[in-house]
Amino acid sequence: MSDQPIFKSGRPDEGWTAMYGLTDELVSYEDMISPEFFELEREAIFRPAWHYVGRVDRVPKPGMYFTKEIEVLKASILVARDDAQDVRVYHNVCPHRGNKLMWEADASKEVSGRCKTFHCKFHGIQYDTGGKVALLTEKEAWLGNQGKELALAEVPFEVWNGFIFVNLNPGGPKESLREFLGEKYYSGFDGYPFETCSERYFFRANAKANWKTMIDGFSETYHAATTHALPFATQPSENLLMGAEHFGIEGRQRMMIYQDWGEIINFDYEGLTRGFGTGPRIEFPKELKNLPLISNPTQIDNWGSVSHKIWPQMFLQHYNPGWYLTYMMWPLAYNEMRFEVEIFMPEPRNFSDALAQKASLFMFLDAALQDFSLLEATQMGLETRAFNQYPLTDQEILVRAFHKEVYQVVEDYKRERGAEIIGRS
Amino acid sequence: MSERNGAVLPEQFSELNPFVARWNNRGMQNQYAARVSSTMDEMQEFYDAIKPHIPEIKQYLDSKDFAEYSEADRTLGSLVFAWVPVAESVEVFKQPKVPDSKMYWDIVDEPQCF
Ligand code: FES
Ligand SMILES: [Fe+2]
Repeated sequence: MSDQPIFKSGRPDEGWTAMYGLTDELVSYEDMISPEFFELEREAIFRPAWHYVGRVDRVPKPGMYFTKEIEVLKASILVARDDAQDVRVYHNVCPHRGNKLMWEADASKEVSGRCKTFHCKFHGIQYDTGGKVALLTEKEAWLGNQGKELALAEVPFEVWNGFIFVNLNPGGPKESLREFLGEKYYSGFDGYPFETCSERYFFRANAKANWKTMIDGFSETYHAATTHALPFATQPSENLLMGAEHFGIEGRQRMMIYQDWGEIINFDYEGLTRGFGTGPRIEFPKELKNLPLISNPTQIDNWGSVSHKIWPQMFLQHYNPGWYLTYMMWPLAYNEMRFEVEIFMPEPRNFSDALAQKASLFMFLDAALQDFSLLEATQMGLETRAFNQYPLTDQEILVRAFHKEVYQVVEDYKRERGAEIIGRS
Repeated sequence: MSERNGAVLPEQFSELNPFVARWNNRGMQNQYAARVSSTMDEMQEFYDAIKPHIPEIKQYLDSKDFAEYSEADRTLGSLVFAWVPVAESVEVFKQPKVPDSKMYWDIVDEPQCF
């Protein structure tokens, strides 16, 4: 591990926009309000991408499993630990007559648990954790070997630092996860003690808004002075109050770094619980104090957080000192999304640790609610089409770069499929 | 009153017993729900009652491993957890809900410490 910053620090003289070769061109958000555009995004953006579905720690023992719904690709994924201790990823579908395999009460909801075999609720066929038939019902009636040769369909996946990514591209992945993430990311997290943060919180909410509205919300920090005026106690100002320290663009991945604003005001309850909106202020395990450079890539003083945006809909964000979270912005329709937050903290040693953790999360959830509650208003505003184009500030470089990339990827897809698509229409 | 229904706090905190029925909520979802279904007056009363005891509660509970907690200890701990969202309303937002919000998170998973 070198001590040299791996990214240049601080706002460049020419500004972020110019530094990344972009201009002050107005931006269209047709990509957030057009149902046709959304249909293209499914195939152009989501189909070839790798998608994070959960950490290996969720299935530590044989027979443990969880399901993951990926509505945008009409997929249901079953992640399991098999009897040989390996992680397996299947389509959560029975190969007999296509019934969804693992679900309870409401087939659209995710489930998790532990079992010896997966039972189909339709005709009772059971599959072992390796995906082969363990019990075949109506054995006599099967024609030839069709029954006993049934097997769950495997989904291509890769595990990166304990994060399971799946790929649903027809015919197999277009690129490896290493190529997809890029080398700086793929190897940059080597040695990050993710497993030290073994306490998992999982929060979820739906909004009537395009999936990119939330990504844009987390792609700049300066809204904090307004959206989060409470608790930050910021007053209206013409000055940039809560800007980011650094914006990074690495291929398709993005990075945003900001300082520690944790104790700007210090409410009584924060002091008493040691739980702040930016995390618990308690003694952390020592391995979290020795993080790889990617946790503070520009080596700024007083770093508070680094937010890594991973194409297309994931954030992996870590906070000083070392606890981390993931955000997933799953599209459901052009104007609807499910937002998922997974927070990983070290195990509390005692009540004070637990209190600091819960208190920081309550404040975090209230702040995230402020961000989230705005989205429907944004979607409604955009859908009026009162304006066709919008300006962006230099602090919104990542918003600009993201939409540019989205349009580009969809354009490329259309061009590749052009003859075919035009021929049909 | 049996320990099972969680109505009793450890001896030294018995003056807080009157708050148990309303505020002994387990889990963040229930703790938050109690906040948004309460009036500011109800919250102010609970806030004022618990606040001065927090350092002593921390000291008392920190002296035990989670596995050694009695039901009364669990009730005491949960009462303090439930106090946190209330304190946010009292100190920060001055109203039960986060301003300009209509929903709340679905809290799907949360570690149970004790
Ligand atoms: S559909 Fe699963 S056993 Fe028939
Ligand atoms: Fe925000």
